[in-house]
Amino acid sequence: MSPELTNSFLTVLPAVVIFGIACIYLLVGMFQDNSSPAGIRSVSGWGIVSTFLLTTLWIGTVWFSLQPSGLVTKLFQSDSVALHGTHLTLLAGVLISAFSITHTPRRFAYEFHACLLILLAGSIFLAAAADLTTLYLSIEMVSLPTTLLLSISRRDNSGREATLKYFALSAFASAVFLMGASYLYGLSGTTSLSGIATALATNDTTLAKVAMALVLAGLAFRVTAVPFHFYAPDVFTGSSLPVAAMIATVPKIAGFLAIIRILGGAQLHTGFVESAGLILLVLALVTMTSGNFMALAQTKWRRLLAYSSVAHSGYLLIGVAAALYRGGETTYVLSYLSAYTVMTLGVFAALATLTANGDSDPSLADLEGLYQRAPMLCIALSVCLLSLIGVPLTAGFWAKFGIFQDAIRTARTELVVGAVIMAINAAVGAMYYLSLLLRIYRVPHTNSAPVSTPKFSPSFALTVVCAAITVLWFLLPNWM
Amino acid sequence: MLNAIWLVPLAPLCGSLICMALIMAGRRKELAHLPTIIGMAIAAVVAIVTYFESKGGEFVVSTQAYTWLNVGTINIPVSLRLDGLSLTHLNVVTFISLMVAIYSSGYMKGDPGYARFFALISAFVFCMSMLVLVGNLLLLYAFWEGVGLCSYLLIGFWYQKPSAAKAAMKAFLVNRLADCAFLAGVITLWYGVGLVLDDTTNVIARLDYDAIFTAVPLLAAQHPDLLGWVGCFILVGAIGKSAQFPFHVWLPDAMEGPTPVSALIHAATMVTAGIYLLARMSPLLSEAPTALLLAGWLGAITAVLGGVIALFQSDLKRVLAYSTISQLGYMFLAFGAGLGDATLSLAVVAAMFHLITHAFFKAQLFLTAGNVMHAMGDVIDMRQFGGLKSILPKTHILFLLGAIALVGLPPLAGFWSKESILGLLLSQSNDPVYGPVFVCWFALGLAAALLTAIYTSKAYFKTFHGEEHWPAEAGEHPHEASTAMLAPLWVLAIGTVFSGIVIFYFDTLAGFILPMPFLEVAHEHHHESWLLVLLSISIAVAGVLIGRWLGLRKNQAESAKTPNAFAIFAENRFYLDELFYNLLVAPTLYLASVIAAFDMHVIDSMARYIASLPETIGNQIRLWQSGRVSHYAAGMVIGIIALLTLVYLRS
Repeated sequence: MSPELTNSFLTVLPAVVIFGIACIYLLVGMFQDNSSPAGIRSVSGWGIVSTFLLTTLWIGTVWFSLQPSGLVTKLFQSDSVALHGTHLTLLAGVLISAFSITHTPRRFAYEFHACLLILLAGSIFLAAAADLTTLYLSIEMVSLPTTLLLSISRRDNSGREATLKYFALSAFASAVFLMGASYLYGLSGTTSLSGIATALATNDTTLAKVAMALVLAGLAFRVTAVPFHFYAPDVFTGSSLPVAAMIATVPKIAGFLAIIRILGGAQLHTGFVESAGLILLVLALVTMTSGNFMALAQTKWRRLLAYSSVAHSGYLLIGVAAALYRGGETTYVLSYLSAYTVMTLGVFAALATLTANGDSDPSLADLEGLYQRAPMLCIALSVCLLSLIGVPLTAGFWAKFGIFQDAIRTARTELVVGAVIMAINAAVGAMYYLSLLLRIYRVPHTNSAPVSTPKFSPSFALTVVCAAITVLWFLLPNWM
Repeated sequence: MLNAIWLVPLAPLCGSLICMALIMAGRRKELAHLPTIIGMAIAAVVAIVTYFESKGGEFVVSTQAYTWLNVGTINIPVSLRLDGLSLTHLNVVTFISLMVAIYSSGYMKGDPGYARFFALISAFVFCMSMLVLVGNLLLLYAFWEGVGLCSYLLIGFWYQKPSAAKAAMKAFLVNRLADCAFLAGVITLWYGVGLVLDDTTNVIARLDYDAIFTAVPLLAAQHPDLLGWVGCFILVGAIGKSAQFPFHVWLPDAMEGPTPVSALIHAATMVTAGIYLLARMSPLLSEAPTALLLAGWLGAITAVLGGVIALFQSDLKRVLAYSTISQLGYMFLAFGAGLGDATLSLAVVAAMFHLITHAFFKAQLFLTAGNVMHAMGDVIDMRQFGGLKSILPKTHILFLLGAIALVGLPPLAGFWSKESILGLLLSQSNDPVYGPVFVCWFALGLAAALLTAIYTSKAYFKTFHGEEHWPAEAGEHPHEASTAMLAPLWVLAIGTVFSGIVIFYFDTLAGFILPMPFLEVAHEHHHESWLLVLLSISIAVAGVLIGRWLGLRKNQAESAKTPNAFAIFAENRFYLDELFYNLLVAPTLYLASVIAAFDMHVIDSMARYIASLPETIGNQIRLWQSGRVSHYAAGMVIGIIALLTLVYLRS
């Protein structure tokens, strides 16, 4: 192998390993009879194996790569964004595969987990992408398995609807992205991200900005920014809970990593930074405001979580805009993403614990008086919800604190105003999270229990783990 | 073991968390005393081993337990600081807590809140040991509030009882009032230290003890008035926590909590946090004479006032509560004696000495009172029982030991420490400036000693001697307490008997505490005056005899006699509670009702309108979510067009 190729492999070693495991899954799975009793028994085995492997990989990666190696090849680069993106993706992967142990669709057990692994690999490739082509391919490597997961995880009409909507709109978003990308190539004559950044350092034409606007619009779909978010509520409703949790986290991580990669290259032209920053800021404000206001009007848990995830994308976009002005310092965005991943997965896992199968869609009223039936789960769920609000004693506090601090440190009027609007939005957001908490602790008037009383299960444990991480994070912010 | 000191707060914290987990799991709650006792035992062993390893002398060990936050200029490390003073107090806290926890495992048996009780007690010990160990005034303040919270939760432990809920609220509010002043002191000090030290790199480190004490001489030279204010503010915080006049009103009501709580928190440890604070801040107070003068006067007044009120109480626990107030007054009085030339170090030693001995014998007295209460079916009114000597023989002996120690008869503990305070005052009486004041305080101190002897022996004789009778609640045959409730008392009794003479004879305390950094140490040692010893022994004996007479009087004779005005006055605690109610609480309530009306009619209607706004908007824009893919794609196209327009308009 040429040294170039070896280096390419080394920079994205975890992704290569994961991809290899996924291939093994597909090979082994082919010879497994899903309808036989042994096959049915082994359904949860796939999830357990994935969780174990990903945990090992995550610990290994965190342990061995505390510093980015600085390797740069034509396709991939290893810098701090790549490193943190890898850790973040692996963390999400561990939690999601633990979540799916009990929710793997019986007929497509190995395909399900193989898809999950492939899209995790895609997100890691994306974190390390150094070229427009690898970037785009990685995005599709996340998006196509997602479509597959949507279609195999749920086999009813709402599942088909979700699959179709996601596929069609995702293709549309990719088209917009590719159009922007082709302009970028045309302007700079190269597909290398650093080459494009160098070209843009001296180029301040309207065409460059239009190209950037198109690329950002395409990526806005991935991070569910308004008005590219319409698919989110329908997809969240029309999928099994682990897949909904996955869509709430991994594509978002991938989308933000892509935005960071495209914008965070090198010294961009000031005028160019101004336009990109403005786009991000406007997107952020529209996203968080409509996300929060829409969430207020919801009566079902899944739709509420969908809009809540839209709102959080808005906060993250403020962070990205601030990072852009501050020369690509994206630590706070990434740490917000990991906090968001942990707490969102905690809430989804709690919902999965409470509902008998992963397809049901509990309304807010169904969880009334939950505390009476499941105090432990309730407390863990409350921690996650409080973290989503961003109150102290939880990770969400530091996450929001970091974004605020970043925005204010730019010392730019529009970002400070943006931070103020974000604070107002956080208060509006607190309204619906708190009303959820209120419902959980209120004693119901009727004695009917539409939601089952939970027994111990992996998703129960996952909620507790997420809540524990959330609190520990607050106490030891420097470790995260 | 110096490096293992972080185990002292950590072990009770783990104990508390385990108890909370038991509560949440709803299982095995009856085992909640185990994690608590084990946690406290670890803490106590580490503390005592550290004590013997350190061998006194000048040592300060700082360990950074963990850094909570390191963002830019805000760096909040939680560092533990160990020196003679903190180690001494730490030993008192951990040892008494361990004994009380063992006692509680018997006392609280069968209570529905068993696990909650132990979770709270453990949390208290965590907060208290952190309060003692931290090396930063701001952190001390945080844990100061932490112990206040635990105290609130434990006073209101039986929250179904309205009186307990009310007492908890009262304790909490009175303490908050004093803590306001304390916080003002902390902030003023923070500002002051910032004025003289130009270390602006770390805002929190300005309140590290070392930084404060480095800044004190500079402050004294440049801004003496500021330092005076800081001293007074800190003093107010201390008198709030230590229940000194006029903030003493919360402590007697705090007796609504379970008796072990009264023994641990409201006699032996938490209420002495005020003393610890003053001792800790003594280098600062030495430059703030006003605060010391105030401490002395308030201490003297409280000592006498507490003694008088205790004399007229018929509730055994309340007698002990007022006695605690009075004894804490002694410790403040000791600080007053620090006004003389460079005698503050001796004052600190004397106050800490009394703190230690008092912790032993008062915890013992409270716990034996708990035994009495247990046997009497939760009746604690001394008029309803008597002559319990033969029914509770062991409790009787234990109470007697505690009482002798409290009265101050040699060779038990209380005598030595009280003597060292009075002796210190007497030796300073020829001070050119404060001489007359010291004489005055000395007289008040002797008066308080007499009162102490009277009420103590009155309570003792009333409870254990005379005609044998008990209330109906106690049943046919009241019985002695269980081993779990007696064994820790025997251990405490060792301290009650020997702690005074051991510390006095070997003079260990001064050697251990005194090489305190930043505090000028007085080398001349005051000598015991035999005259003073004789005087106080005779006062104690006289007090005991008067108390015996009072205690053995027939109940009928007592009630037949019309009580004089003073007795009514004292029985009603000098109407101080009523005074505070009318002066502070009633106007506040009135103001609150006015504000509430304004809030309801003006603010709330506005807030309701604003609160309804988001939902209205949300309901409007949710109509955009039609569910059709073509609409969604159209929405995205509109978004793209909007972004392109934006870019185009900008360039």
